[in-house]
Amino acid sequence: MADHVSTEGHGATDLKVDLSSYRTKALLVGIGGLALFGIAAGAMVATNAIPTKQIFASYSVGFMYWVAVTLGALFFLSLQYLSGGKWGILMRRPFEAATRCFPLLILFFIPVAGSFFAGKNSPYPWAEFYDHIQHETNEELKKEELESDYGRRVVEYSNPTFSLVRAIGIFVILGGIIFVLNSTARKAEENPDENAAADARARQKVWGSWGIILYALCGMVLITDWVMSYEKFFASSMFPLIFHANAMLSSFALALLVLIGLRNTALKGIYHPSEQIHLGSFMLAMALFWVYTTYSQFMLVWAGNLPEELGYPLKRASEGWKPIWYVLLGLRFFLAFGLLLFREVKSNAKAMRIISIGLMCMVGVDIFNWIEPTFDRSQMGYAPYWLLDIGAIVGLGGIWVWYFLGQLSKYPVLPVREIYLLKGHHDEQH
Amino acid sequence: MSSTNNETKVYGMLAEYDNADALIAGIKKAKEAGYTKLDGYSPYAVSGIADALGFIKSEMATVMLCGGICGAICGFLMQYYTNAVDYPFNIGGKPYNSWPMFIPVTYEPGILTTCLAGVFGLLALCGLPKLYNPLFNVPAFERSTIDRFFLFVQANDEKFDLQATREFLLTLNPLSVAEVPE
Repeated sequence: MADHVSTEGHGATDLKVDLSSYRTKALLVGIGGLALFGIAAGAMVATNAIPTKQIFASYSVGFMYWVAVTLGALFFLSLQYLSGGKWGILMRRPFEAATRCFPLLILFFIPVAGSFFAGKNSPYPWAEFYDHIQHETNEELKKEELESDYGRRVVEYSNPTFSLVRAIGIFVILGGIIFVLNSTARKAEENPDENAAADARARQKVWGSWGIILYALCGMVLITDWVMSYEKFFASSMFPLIFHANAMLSSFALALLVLIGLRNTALKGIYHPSEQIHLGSFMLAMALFWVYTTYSQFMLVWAGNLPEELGYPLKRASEGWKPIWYVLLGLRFFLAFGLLLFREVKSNAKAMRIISIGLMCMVGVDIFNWIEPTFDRSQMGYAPYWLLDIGAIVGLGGIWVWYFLGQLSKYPVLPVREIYLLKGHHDEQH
Repeated sequence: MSSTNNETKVYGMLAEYDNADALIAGIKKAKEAGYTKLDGYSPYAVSGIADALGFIKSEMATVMLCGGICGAICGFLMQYYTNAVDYPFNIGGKPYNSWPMFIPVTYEPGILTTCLAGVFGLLALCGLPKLYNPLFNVPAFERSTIDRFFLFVQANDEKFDLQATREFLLTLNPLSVAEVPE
């Protein structure tokens, strides 16, 4: 028979980790990234190499990346509270810590909210249109534009004020469910009254179901408002699902990196290759889900053949952007799919670390591909605007990871009262 | 192939146990003693048996992958032939070889043939259907699907010797040891 997981010696104290050295490094990386963003933006705008709207767009790439990671964590946290799967015991604390980074997103959102009101400097066509209408002096032309389909859409829905109101609503709703999920988790873990703790665990199922519903609905609204509306006429019901696929994969890869990082310290004797194989298979399913959603969007646009929808894939299939598709398809789908099929790879911690980091990078490439090809670069020459995108992802990411590690080290990395489930799980495998 | 005194051919030797741990220990000792053609039988799946027998990797993954690839290629070619060769029809100005629309139908036969390859491949690799299995000549073997565990040493093992193998199996503390007539 196989060895047994020894959990008897793992109390709350043993399972707390000191991550202060990693936090410092993350903060330094974050400051470096933001410095890169600031210097590159200043230099390129000063020399008229890029328009101001490019700064907002690049910032948006970094912002959306960390929105995806945080909300993906909310999805998995809700899912595992609801389903009660043993897999979630290992990943619960990293997901909880990631959702508690949500207040940072509110801070990060301020420049995005600013871009709603930036008029002709806004990267959003609706914000630009709204500003243009406000300053239109020819009343006849103004009336005509307001009565157009796009004009009505902007006035009734996509105007800056209502977009901001929706964003505030999203932050309140998601912030609320994240607060409830985390406070219930604390009660389930720390309440000295065992009955009250058991009640809290039962309530986690209810809140978990609400978490999934609210995540899906709010995710749909925010990705439509903050990303899909970059394209003036493009509308795809698959786009929110592609966002969900990226959000799930990035947060799952991050949680797996945490487990792999702690396998020889706090999780020694608990985290085994057999668990890692299951988590690797889960990751394989997510790689498939991404290609399923992305291909479905492409196929529906191909089948519909509508002028307002074709712009999106045609821009991304044009020269200069096409290699991104090859990178995404080759590395994110074929390579990840090919590697994650094998148990030998999934049980190897170092290989899984590389795959997780690689897939997190690919999520960044995908988000870059949502936003950047939107803009006409024929007037921009060869300005390395992509430095801004990298600076934004790394800069915001450094601060996010710094805060995340602080949250992760606040509590034991496993739910101590439910750790016995892992023992049963491991025995069951042999 | 070994024979008993009255020239009945022997298929192998069967040792009976009442628990999986004893069977796994027996398999390991038999492997250490140099026996290579071994098999284990249990009333339910015990993963340790496959490990002890040294089944490192199953061929099923390769069989199913090949089956799936064949089905997917056939599915795609069927659509290509129908739409681009046999009955070309202009639909919305799209090319006859409108491959993005072929993918869902390519996927379906791919999955179908993967499953079929899995079912028939498993039967073939297990040597099924097998209308006659000499192991059932040993009456005790009926309990292999109820509550008994069996270690089987094939007679075509290079180390197999009727007397020596019987004595060796008796050292593994089985409930019983029986010759399996062919």
